[in-house]
Amino acid sequence: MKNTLLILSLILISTNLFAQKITISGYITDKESGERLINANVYNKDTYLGTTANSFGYYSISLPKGKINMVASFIGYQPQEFNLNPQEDLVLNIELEIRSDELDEVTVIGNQVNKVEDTQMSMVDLSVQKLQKIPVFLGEADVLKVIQLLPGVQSGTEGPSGIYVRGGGPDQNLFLLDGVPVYNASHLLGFFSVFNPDAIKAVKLYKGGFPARFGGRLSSVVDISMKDGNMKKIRGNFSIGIISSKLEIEGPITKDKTSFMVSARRTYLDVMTRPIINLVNKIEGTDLEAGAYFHDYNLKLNHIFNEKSRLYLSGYFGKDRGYIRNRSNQNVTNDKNDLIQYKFKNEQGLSWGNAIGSLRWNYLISPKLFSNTTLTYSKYLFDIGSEFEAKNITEKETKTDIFKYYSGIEDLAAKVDFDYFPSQAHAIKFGTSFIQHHFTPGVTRIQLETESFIANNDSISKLFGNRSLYAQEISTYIEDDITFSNRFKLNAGAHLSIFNVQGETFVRLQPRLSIRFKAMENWSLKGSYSRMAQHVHLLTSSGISMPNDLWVPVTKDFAPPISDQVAIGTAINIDEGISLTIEGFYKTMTNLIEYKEGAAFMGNATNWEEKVELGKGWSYGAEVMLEKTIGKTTGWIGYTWSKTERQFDKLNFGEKFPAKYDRRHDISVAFTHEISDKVDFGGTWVYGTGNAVTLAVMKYPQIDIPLSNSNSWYAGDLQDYGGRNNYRMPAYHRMDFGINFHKKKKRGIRTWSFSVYNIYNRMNPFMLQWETEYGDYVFNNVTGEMVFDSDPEIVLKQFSLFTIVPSISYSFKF
Amino acid sequence: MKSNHLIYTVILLLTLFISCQKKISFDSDLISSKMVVNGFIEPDSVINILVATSKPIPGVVSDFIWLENATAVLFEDGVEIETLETYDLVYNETENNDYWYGDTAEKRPKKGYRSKLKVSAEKTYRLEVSHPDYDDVYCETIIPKPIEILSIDTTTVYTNEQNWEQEQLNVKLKFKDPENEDNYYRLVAFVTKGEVSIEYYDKEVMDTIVYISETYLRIDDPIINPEQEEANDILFSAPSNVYSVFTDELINGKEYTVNFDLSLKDNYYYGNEMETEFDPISMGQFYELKIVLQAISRESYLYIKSSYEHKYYDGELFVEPVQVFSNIENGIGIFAGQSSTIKIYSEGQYPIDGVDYREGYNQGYYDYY
Repeated sequence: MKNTLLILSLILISTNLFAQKITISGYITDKESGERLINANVYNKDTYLGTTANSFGYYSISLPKGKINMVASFIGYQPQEFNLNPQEDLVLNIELEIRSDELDEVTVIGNQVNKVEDTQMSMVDLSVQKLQKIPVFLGEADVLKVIQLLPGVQSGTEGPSGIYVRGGGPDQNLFLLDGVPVYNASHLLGFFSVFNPDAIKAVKLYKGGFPARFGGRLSSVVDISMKDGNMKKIRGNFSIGIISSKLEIEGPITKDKTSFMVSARRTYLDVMTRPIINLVNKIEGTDLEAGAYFHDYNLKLNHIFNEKSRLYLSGYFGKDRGYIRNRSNQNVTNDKNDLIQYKFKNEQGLSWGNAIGSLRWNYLISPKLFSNTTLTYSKYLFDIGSEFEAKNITEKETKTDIFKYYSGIEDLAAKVDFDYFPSQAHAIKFGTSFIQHHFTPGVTRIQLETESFIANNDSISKLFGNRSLYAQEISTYIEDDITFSNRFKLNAGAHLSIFNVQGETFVRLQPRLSIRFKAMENWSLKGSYSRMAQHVHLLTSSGISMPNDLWVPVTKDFAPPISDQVAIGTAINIDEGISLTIEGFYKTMTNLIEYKEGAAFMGNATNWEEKVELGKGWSYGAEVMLEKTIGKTTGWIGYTWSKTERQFDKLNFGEKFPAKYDRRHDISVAFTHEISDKVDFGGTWVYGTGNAVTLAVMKYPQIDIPLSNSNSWYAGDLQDYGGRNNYRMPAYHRMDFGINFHKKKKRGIRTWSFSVYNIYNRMNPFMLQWETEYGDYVFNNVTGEMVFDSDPEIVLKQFSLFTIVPSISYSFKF
Repeated sequence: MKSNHLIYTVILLLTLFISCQKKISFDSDLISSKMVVNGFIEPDSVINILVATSKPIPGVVSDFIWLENATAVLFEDGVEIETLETYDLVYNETENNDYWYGDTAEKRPKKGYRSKLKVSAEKTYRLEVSHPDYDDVYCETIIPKPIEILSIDTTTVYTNEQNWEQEQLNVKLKFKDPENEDNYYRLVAFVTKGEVSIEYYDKEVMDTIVYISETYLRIDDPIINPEQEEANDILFSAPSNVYSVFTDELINGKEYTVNFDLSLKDNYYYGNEMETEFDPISMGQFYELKIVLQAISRESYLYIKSSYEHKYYDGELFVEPVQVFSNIENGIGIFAGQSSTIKIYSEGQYPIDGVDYREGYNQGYYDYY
């Protein structure tokens, strides 16, 4: 706290130093919708020095008194120029208009940040329009699936939408939805992400050079902003796809004062598979029901009290469920020869979901000092269970066996953030937050009543596991984006986190630094260093994003993981809207955890520390991204060379081994092309070195354990793996293609979208397994017996998830 | 693993109509057969080792090749001592062996390699094994000093359930862990017992069956079997410490008493009449209990633990496979030392003239895998 006071004092002093200047400030919004434009630029046309709007669209620029030609611009929008001659502080709210096709003959979809100008490196700012045009799996546009196409990001296995950034694990990504952490970003076991693109305004991925305002995860921050809601008119869209339908509506409650945005979507895989299951039931004479689905909702309200004060309320609720249910009847004769009628019901199911909410209050303390106060709530809950019910109809008695397992995490947080613009040379951000974590790392409920489990009618009903574990986290940060000259800028800061759990307190100071040197007008060199600390571990051992992965806090023996990352790079604006970025990074990670060999991925977490090992990791590599953001054709080509290793004292006998998602080469190509305002199409192609897996390659004889009962020198076979993650799966590659047909209708625009996933039907590896193949079973005339006509042979089988998958969807935007 | 099955089911449900499999080629660069050396050594015994080759997993299923023309040179504390000689391995072919090992009998090695020297505790032994067709391999182990058993206290406990009486022995075994070194242990107990086989209908004594078996130890001891979570015990299968190996991590340099129970005798009672009619002891009933506390090398500890868990988890889909420890450089297998300290308790006499004995099945044998 002392530090914060000191910083505030320094800020006040510096304010006086710059008192000779005037301040121009305000909000930059979309003229049509009133939506605030994050990262819009405001600059002095003569000096090209300026500032960028913050995440609430607010800007503040200090200039000497006198005439100024000021320009406000935002990619995809018509720039606006202002000839001003202010003598005192000026509030200038700017409305930018989307460039029309007629005027410019181009459709502008692209990055909102000028990569040469910005101090920030290792960051990708995704356009939501762009991600909605990229061909998608089963017609569902997906934020994380597009992020997987970016250099430095691995997708893990086929299908799931988990991301692995610069050698980090799936738990090292901080997903923020309107500033609230989302603990499980997966729907349908990871095949879709929880972020509905219809409800999203902006997506930023930070892979390195983390600004000090972010903390809590080692490898990446995915900062997603939901739409605020149209302040002018009711707008919306709905779509119907192969597996889901969705609806999004936004508009003013009071024009230019209060707006709302709601969106909802639901899959109907369960409905689609029902006729097939019914058919199977009919053939097999069973009574089976099964299905899996998810639904999610986004809501946002925002209200402008006055020029200084604005309130946002946003929420997300989503739930996944999978179930299998069957029923049967049985008549049994008891020892008195009475007929007893039984009805049995067996149900198994799992469900998981996130519920998050945030209340944010923007208040402009002065034109130079912007504040945002936030209260957030985030909850993730997973439960899995089975219930067997045996109903004795004759004797009217019901016995039930129940197994239920659940785990979750719940956060309540309060934070306050400030943006302070003391001068044109400084843009300072500082703030502090408090989070109360409530972990429920794994609770099992068992109730056993039926004879199949218990004897002597002693029913069992017990709860096991750790029901509650609380932790407190306080963090504070300060960062300053300092412009030394037109050529030289840096962003320096520090993030301090204090985490308290079970009487242990962990204090971690995390310095951050990013430097930009503009060698030429269209060429800059950049460097960054960032230290990140993480105070939660995710216990996961499966290759796919399983919802039962457990979040647990750090402990005395398993201290906070720390990463140190150094990155250097260059950004070149080759032509208007075409940029090339090349970056190299080196990252070390300590206090990583992994399950012990053989440890099951399912279980209670009271003794999770006994199931994991502590180790370290390294990742280094180079990324190249050539991107075109303006024109009829937009897209990027990305290439990553990287190497990621882990070392654990008690895994792999202490030897280094490649991380599961270590990929030497990763190539991605993504593009969209607009033929006319009626037709556009897009495609992607990805290639990646095969994932590392632990696969037995040799067999060798086992010797008897001395003093065991057996009396043999040969006690069977053992398998030799040659090390953890010793084998590479075949390379992964895939091409997708999609085309959209738009038509203007009386009340809006309808779009038919056709897409094909995996267009050349590549069988990509999901899992490898040895299998024994036998020959044909034939009759041997000599012996008179049925025999196999060849010796058994062990072969390697590859299992793939998705072959070619076409999809179609219809949407209407009004 | 109930829940795992459910998750698999849901995954299968999702991918029912779209998943597929195909046979793929294996990266043959990884297939290069290595020499396998296996041997455990004890003080005051000669060294016996086996040499074989590993075989690639893919391809036609075949048996291992046991190498009979390898050269194994033995070093003691860095000094070359001798070259091991081959000898014919002898198997005690009995009906029981056929029962337990029938399907592997043909695959067993025919020759082993043996030293003339009897090895000693606290010395380091190194083997260098060469063969014209394979890379030379090296291995080294130290034979730990036998650990003194300071005391053993036993208490006999009887349990009786539905006429089935069990005589159990509660054992408190005290030893002192040496200071300032990492130590590894194993606890084993054997019961050799003669049980009188009686045909009760004709009231005739058939014969006396001798069982020799490793007996199951029920060890509720935090250093050997840390407390398992009850829910996990019920719901999730997890390997137990069947070989009772443990480290001195929690007891370094201290005296420690291990507490365990074992079964000695089972008696089924048919009534007082039968009890008075026969005197089992005079007819040959006996037992001999051998309690062994082994000081084992680190190599031995890691091999025993990892080989058991390796087999236990083999085939589990979402579990990271367990690699078996090997200390054979350039090759694979195990060369490890251990020393045993033995205490014996007995009741009855064996053999008794005139008593007809026959061998029983190893009743105490339990299926580890």
